[in-house]
Amino acid sequence: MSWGDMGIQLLGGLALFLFGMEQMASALKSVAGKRMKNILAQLTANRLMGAITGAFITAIIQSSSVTTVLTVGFISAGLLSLAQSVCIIMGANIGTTITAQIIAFKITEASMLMIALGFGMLFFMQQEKIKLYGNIIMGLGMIFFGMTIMSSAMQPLHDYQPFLDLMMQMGNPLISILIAAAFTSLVQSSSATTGIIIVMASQGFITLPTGIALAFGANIGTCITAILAAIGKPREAVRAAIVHVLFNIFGVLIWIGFIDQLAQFVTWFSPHYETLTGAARLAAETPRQIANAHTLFNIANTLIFIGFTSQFVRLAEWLIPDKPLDESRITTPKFLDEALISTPSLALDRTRFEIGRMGQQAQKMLTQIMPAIFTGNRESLNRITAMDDAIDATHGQVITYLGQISKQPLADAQTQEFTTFMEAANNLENIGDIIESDLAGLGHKRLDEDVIISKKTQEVLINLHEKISETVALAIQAVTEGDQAAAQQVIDMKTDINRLADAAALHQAKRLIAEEPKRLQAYTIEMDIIEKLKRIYYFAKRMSKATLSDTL
Amino acid sequence: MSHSTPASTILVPVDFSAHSEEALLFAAGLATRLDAPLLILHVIHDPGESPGYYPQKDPQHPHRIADVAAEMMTEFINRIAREHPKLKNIPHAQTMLVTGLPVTRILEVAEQCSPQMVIMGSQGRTGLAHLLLGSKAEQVVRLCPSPVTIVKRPVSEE
Repeated sequence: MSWGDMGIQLLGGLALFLFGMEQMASALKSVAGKRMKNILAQLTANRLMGAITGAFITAIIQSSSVTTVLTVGFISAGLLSLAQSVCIIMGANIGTTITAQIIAFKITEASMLMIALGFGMLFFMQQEKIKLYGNIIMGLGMIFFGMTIMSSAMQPLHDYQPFLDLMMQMGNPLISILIAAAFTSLVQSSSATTGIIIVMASQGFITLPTGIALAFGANIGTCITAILAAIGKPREAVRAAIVHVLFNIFGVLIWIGFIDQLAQFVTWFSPHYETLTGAARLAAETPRQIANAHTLFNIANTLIFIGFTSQFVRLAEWLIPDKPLDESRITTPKFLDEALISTPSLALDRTRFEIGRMGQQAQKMLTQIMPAIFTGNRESLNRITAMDDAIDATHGQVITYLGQISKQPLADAQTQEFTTFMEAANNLENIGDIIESDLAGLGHKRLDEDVIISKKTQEVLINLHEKISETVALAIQAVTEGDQAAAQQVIDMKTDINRLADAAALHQAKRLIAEEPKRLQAYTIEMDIIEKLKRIYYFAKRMSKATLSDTL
Repeated sequence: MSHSTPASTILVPVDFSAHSEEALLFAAGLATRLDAPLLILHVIHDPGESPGYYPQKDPQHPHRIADVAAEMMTEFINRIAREHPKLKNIPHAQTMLVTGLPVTRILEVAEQCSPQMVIMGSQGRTGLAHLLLGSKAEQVVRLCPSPVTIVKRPVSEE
């Protein structure tokens, strides 16, 4: 095999391996995303529970980096504190070792079967859940297939002395740690590094102590993902990423002098293949020994450091001080967190909150507009007009955020939720626009033409406005709380709204013949107000209908 | 930041503990006598030594920590106002919630509001606990630009 062929095979194998991991992790997140949110939310003060949660979540999603990124996202969203996150981060290191344990089974022979089975489930089954499980199995198959390809690509290296000399250099733990840390930060996955370590061990290229040192390096390199995720995030989130770095570096520092002892210990309790000898025995035993050392080292570190979580918190707080007060005041709640986009169930929840906030802004405009039209001055009308800027800005952010979510694989229920939110954001923006340009415009027209709206007419219009406001509030409730009854109520109120609008129009028609100055101008404005209010109801109804179709 | 805070304001940082309740009662009494406005501050910070300071009432539908803190602040003030109806300034006091490290934030608020006095409670940690965790009140006393009064809870109540 030429060098070129070997390089292509190695890269191709690595690409398959990483793609398989990505596919499996993505499907696992879809299956478990919602449950993960509930698990994280139930965390309170119990450190051990925090660590177990971190380990459990990471074992499911197969990546400590993703757990830390998720944790950073939760902190940014204000749902989790740094103090609560430390144990989760510690536990995540344990969970991530499950990948190495699975890979060490070396069920490479079954890789094709897994790919075929996963493919079958993915393409021939109708049920969404089965398709997701198909994705997981196919992803796992591709991981093993990638490993098989990499292993066969490495075969010629057995007789290549310079490579064997290079491997000898890896006997220096510092070099191994640095190489593995650099590689892990490049591929942003410690599991990928441990996978490759196990491939190399199964080929007999590296010894157990070298494998352990490389696994240490992977633990350090994996922190880069969390650091990247924390850039531009609130201080608490940056501190969580720093805790991840500190914990992993301290963990390696305390073990670096005991690699040989750790190797002896895992050799003692890991399976032995007495019938084999030499490189064959090394190749059979070392992968499991590395996986066990990786797990043992991470469990031991968590147990050692779990009593020092407050010290980690204080050190991170000392290293990353607060920003000046004005920047971190809590007056501008913001729910849309980019870190959560890769987990659609969480990102959709954030969108729900943001739409709730958008709804509050629209309701505030709606409440203030009628007095401003009837008796307000230009300043009060302009103030309401300016409020629409916030709605427009939020609308833009929500649509962009939803656009990013749509690039992720969504379950059927999530797609429906996505559609409801898209519809709600657009309808709320339309409501804001009607108030901003049409209703506020009518207020300006009243001032321009110096028209007075009679008390009786005001009462009639306010009755209609109150009913319409009620429908908007119910529609927002339907979207933000998934309240089907509220949505149905909005639709059922159509008769009431039409009756009130007809009564208001009849009242205007009667008033048309009244002996009042500028009666015609007043009539035009009043009829326009009725039309615009009805239009607002139309958008409230559309929001509600989208919510109801959600359940169909 | 409320730069419009009158200079005679009394700033009371609270953490909803019995110690800070004692400080708030003392501050409210003093503010009444001095006819000074009261500014009650809570710094949202989940302490490393006891995470979960802001418990979620319904873990299935978690709220933001800041919202939980705001609710705790309202409950804290309402309860004290209910139990001490004579202190009429408590329900009308200005409140402020900020996220961050308690000592840093208290000092920043004190610097920007220039209160006539900061009144706060102290847990009175001694020995190893003091060595490991320090005392927020002690740091505020050392670094605050305004006069600081520390209120200790009567020993019998501790």
